[in-house]
Amino acid sequence: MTGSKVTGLIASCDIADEQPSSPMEYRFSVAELAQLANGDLVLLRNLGWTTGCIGEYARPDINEVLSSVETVVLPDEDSPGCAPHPWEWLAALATERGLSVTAEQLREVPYRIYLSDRALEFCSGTDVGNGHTFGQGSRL
Amino acid sequence: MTPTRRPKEETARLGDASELATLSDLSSVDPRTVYSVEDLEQYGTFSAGPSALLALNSSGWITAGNCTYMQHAEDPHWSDGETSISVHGYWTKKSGSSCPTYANVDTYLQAHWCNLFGCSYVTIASDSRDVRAGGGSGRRGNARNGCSGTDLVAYRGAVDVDLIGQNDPPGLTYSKSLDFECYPA
Repeated sequence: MTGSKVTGLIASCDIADEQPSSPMEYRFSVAELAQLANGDLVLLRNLGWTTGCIGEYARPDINEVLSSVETVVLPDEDSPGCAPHPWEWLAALATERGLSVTAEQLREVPYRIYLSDRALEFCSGTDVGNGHTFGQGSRL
Repeated sequence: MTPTRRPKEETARLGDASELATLSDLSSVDPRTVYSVEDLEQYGTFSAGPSALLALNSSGWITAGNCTYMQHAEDPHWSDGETSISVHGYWTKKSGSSCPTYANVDTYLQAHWCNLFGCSYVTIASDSRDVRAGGGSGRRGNARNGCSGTDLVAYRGAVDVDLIGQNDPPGLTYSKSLDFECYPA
């Protein structure tokens, strides 16, 4: 796969297959992927989160889910104003998977958040058919 | 008020692993108690595990004054460089809800541990800090533990959010359990 140019990064969010036992909780998965020039997607890492509702059960709206996606892909040692993604590590993961890309190059490609149909349908106040891709940069 | 990071000892007791060695009902282990990996190794072993071994989570319908909030536990994941396992916790509030500016977020990293009587998740690292709602940079708690070997071990995270200056119900939210080639250091 060496030589395949990375043209974008995608955080693909879906409802996790394994749901919590509590009806007051829900669980999402996030796959961080490198998109290649030929359209192929290469998995870099799997992430996710579980949300517990306190007070009253409420499904999240799209913005809340997008915010959580942005949160879970942050560098581990995040601080206010830190880089939105662990570029060096993502580049290392890409290299391990046979891609040739540097952290500097990854900073320049579009970063998109993708919500699956299931994730969109789960969100409150959502009536959208197909999986959606949201903008680039820090978000949207 | 500025965010602060509290010493672990203020909110999480350090446990004596010898207590666990004779405990036949491991489901009664308090997740807020942090055990030393070194001590745990004397009385049992860490291992990969079924993801739904113990379902301890139950929030139910609970109110906290006029504040409606959610607590979030990220899945355990490799920390940058794949030398340790990390979990984050954070909280969000519903728009229009009246919540304090800060909440104390206790974040726990649990590893799957077995003794003569069975297996359970025990807490091996914790973090406690006061953060604003919303997640994002600087608004998460982080508990992590290094690796000493590559044996497969199951980890999960747990999060408890306490509203500052306002009574709120106790209750932990657990993440998914995932296996990693990381024997706890």
